[in-house]
Amino acid sequence: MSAPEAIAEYWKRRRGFILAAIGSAIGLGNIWRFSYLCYKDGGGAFLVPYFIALMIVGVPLIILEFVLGNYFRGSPPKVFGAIRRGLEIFGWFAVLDQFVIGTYYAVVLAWCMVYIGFSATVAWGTVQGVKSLFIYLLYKAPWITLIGLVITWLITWYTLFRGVAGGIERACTFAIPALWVLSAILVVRGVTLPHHNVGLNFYLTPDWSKLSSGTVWIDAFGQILFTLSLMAAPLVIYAAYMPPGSELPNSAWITAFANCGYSFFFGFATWGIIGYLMGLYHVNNPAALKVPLGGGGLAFMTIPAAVTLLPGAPVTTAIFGTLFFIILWLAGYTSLLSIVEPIYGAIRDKFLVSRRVGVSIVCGLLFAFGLIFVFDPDLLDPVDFIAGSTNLVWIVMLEAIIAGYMYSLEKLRAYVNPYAELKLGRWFDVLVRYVSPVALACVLGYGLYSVSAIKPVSVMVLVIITICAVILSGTRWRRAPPAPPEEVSSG
Amino acid sequence: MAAETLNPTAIAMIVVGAVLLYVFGLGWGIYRAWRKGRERSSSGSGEK
Repeated sequence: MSAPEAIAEYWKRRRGFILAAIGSAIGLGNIWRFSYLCYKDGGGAFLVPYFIALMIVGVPLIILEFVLGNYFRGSPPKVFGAIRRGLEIFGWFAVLDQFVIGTYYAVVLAWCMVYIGFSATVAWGTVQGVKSLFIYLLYKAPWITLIGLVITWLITWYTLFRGVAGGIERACTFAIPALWVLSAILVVRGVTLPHHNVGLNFYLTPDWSKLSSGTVWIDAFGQILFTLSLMAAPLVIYAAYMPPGSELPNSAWITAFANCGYSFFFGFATWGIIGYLMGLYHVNNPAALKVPLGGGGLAFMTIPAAVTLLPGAPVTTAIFGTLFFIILWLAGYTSLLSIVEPIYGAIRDKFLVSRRVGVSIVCGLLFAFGLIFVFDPDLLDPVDFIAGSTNLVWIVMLEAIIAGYMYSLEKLRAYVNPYAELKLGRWFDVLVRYVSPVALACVLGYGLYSVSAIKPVSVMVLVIITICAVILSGTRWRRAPPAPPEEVSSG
Repeated sequence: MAAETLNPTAIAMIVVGAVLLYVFGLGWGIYRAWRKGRERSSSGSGEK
């Protein structure tokens, strides 16, 4: 049997690649984090630092990840190992961080899956039952989450098993337009509810004085980093599946703005509904509702409570509750695909494992480790703090430093510009080399400064990732070790 | 209860957000791809 090629698969169309990248970028945070940050950080005024962060860090780094993946044609260990042999460990670190994220991200999707069923049957009954049902699910009935997890992993495994064009591209070509259409229905419902203006005023009325707060700027740069799936892995591997000589910068631009536009758009649904709640309870401030306005609390407690009180309940509760959780699941599912793919890509590149075997092993392991969070959901926050937050910031910061100082950005620009619809000039070098590392260092520094205590489990995860990265980078490549394309072609 | 009408400044930010993200960002990117695609296909057919 012949060994599988390092890159033997391609996207069928450029549109499929862009939709998959948008699917990677649009995730749970677009729905439950962006609009909350707007409310917290100066309403519409938050759009200013958010847009600046998008332009000076988000777009350049998404272009960088696309170009790195396409130029070096492989997974993160191959890309960074080709830049410098000793940097392969960094690529493995990025991949293993994805592994940890994948374990608990799928559990959150399992809760969404379960809540699709709960919403359809209005399982919580009354508003008073919403919180107790969520607590029951988390601590008393993990087997229900387990069913959602099994279904989520079966769908994810099957999609990845079908390959890049037949699986991921086909899924995202359906899921992303569906996500927009379903979200539009929810937005229309949100902005036609009584008192929706009250909520939208809190979402968008600018408080310009907040722009003098460093926290607001840190939040904006952090949000751009997390929302665009900048993790030195998912977008890198997706771009590797574009043929050499593909257009990349404008694809990155479209991906970035589609993602941020979706966040802005969905905020109207969330805050229309919150305004409706404020009107019902006759309160002047969303905080007076004493319900979570962002994060998982918004999704699993506030929204179910709000849809229970909709005009036309319980039929409308079932319709709009189910709709909300289908949207949430679809957004997470397309992101989960991009979390798992670089893990498989890394073991394929190094150990020459076929897709069928590799994807099955990776999905099986992720499912098995995910059981930890099913039976102990309290571990999710400290693990997310290290794998889904802190690590990502310094990984992307190092990625920019490595590309900017240890490889030639001029060479990358020369590679990409002949085919680019948006030419990369010297501005790209300045933003990658100087602006991005400084901005990300500020996000990292502030994040670590503001945390009250780092839990032992967070440190343990960091240590385990590091040990595994050392071991994996020390193993032998089953083909020639990675090298820059110019050396491969000249050699 | 807070004001039931949308603040003029909130309306302004809706316009700003829509223009920045959808017109300047997404719209321009898609237009650029469409225009270059048309140029490529017309130059390709010219060669033939």
